[in-house]
Amino acid sequence: MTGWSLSTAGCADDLAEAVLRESRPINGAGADADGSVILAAAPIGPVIAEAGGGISGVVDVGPNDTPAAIARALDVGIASGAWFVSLRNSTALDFDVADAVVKGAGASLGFAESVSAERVDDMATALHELLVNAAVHGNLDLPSPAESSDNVRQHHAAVAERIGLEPYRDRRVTVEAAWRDGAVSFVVVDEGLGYAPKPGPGDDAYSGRGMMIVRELSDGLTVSDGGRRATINFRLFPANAPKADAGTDILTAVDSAVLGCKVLIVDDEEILVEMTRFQLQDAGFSHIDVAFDGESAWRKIVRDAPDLVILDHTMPGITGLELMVRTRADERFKDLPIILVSAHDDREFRSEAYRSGATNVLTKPVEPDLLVHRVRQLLTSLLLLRRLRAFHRRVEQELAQAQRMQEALMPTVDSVAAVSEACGVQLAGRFQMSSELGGDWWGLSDFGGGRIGLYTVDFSGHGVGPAINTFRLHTLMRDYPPPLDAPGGYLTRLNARLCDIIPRGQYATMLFGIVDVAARQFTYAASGSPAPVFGRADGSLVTMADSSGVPLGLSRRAEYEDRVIDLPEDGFLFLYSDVLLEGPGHGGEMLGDDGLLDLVRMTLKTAPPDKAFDQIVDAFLARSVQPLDDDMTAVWLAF
Amino acid sequence: MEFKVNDNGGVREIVTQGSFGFEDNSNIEKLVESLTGDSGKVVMNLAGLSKIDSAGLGMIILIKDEVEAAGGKFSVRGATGQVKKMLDISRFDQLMTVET
Repeated sequence: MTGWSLSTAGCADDLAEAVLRESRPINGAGADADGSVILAAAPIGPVIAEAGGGISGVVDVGPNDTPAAIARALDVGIASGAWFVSLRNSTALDFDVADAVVKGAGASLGFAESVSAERVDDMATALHELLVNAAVHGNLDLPSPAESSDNVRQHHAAVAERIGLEPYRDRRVTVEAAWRDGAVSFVVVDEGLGYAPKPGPGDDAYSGRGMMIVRELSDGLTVSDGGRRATINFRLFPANAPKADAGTDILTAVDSAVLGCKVLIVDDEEILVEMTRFQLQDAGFSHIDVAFDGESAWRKIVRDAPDLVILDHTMPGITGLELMVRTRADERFKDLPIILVSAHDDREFRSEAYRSGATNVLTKPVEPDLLVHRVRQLLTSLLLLRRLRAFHRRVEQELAQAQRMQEALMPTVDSVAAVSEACGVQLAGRFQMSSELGGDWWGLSDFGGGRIGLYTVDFSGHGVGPAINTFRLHTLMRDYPPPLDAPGGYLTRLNARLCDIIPRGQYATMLFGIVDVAARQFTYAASGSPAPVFGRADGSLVTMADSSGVPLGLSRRAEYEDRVIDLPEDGFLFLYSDVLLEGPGHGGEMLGDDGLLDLVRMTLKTAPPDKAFDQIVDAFLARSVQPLDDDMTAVWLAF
Repeated sequence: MEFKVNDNGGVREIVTQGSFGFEDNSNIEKLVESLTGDSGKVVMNLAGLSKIDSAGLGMIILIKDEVEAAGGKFSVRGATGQVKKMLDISRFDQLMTVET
């Protein structure tokens, strides 16, 4: 059990000398026979016995020691491999002691290089608070100060008096330091009478100013055993630990995060609660809370939203099963892992437990290793599930934002209406984004003099890539605005530039044309886009124009020619994306060119002219599965 | 903690040095007494402090209460490093005037 042994007699001369030189009696009584620093290996009382094997040494410091001497002794002791420090009857209330313990522990346990100087300061400040607390309540037996100013003053006076005059009892304050699984823990135990929890609402009994500071500085504080035992934890991951590689398995990150999860232990037998708490702390868990009956457990579940509950079945008041039923009935806790622990091991009880909502059922007595393993396993699943959900939420939000950006590229209702009015035509556009992002886009420009530029674009593929390409082309068209005539030359130039900036294999079909309202002429160029449909508003002479051409972005040498169609009197022009051709016809078959022409003809024959366009699009949408798997664009111009 | 009290033209300045913690309980009475009956302004200069703990914070509040009970005004100034962090954590700016 003991790894090394030292006493002043056996330690280095210069240390012994320094210790003796710097030691001086603090009180006249000289209560401890040793009278100086002892570095000893002797097992000292229940505290160490409780910790079990693995203790490598003990530094035991006597009552007459100056802080500097104590700090020095601790340096030597901890550097020799001790992680258990005992301050016997200590009045070592100087900051140096906590500093020495933290720095010594950092050096000997090996976490020193993983933490910043500021974090070391935080650890020392928090540990100092616990040591002072232990000394005051453990060794000095002083009451906690009450809230009113007068009482505080009396308290301070009493402390002052006790420091100067009263002999100390033979009590120890011990500090244990451990570094496991990315967290540093310090446990401070004193052998005093403990201190009474502060009366008041809530279960947070040990909540004085000092404890509040400790909570703020650390990643978790537990006070137990009537104020005689305090544990603080500092996570080194992810803030201070060396950053994991991007390629590191996500499980490694989750594995560390598991230890930061909040675990609630519920059992009416205090000793079992403490054992379980100890097992989990020993495994590196730092946020452990306890409850001794079902009602207070329920309050803690609602208030603190623990990440996992270890629940005893047999308790006075409501049973574990009853508490589980209540918890599962609350939507907030439907995913909360609950390990039900019970002495029952029959099949009927197990079935009932799972029906009542248990995530796992363990039979008492539970092997410590098994319990810790289950807790880790369930929390790992929970964290992975949470990460997955968070990831989904993030992606959804980002896609929604990208969709809004893409929609902002399209002409607004107002701008469409303004061009309609200025040019004396009926102009309308419909756009519906697919379930993912897509690569569709349309636009118009009023060239003045009754000339309207119109274009539709559809980049290949679905998702983020095509959407980004629409932005590329948009930027390109802003830098090289469409000319007033010669659409073919414009497509030729756009194609050459697009070939430079979009990845090989990606392409766009585009139709760009200019409507001359007075001449009822549509001069356009196309690169394999769906063929423009035109005809008379009464449904006669409805036909498709040629839209063949090499898609943009495939070949730098591609050239595009101007094509002209004469639109009939009372005529219309219909531009659309290919999703309309791929939509289902009446019999469920693909609509195709002929199907679309039929749909347009039939609609025009029955619908009022100003409603025809909407009815065509609505007829298509009504037949299609929503949400669409590709963007839909439709543009209508009628005289 | 070591301290001295300077009188700067009606403003008393408590200049502190070292660390301010539990052990200072025994000499804080002296400090409080030296301020008794003073109804002017008292500034506690913490620039020379390297460390403070909750007991030290409690004693600052005690001094403030004494000064204000006598009708004076109290403020602290000059905290840096660990001392500043402790004042921040304890929201001292809500309890008293904290000058930088």
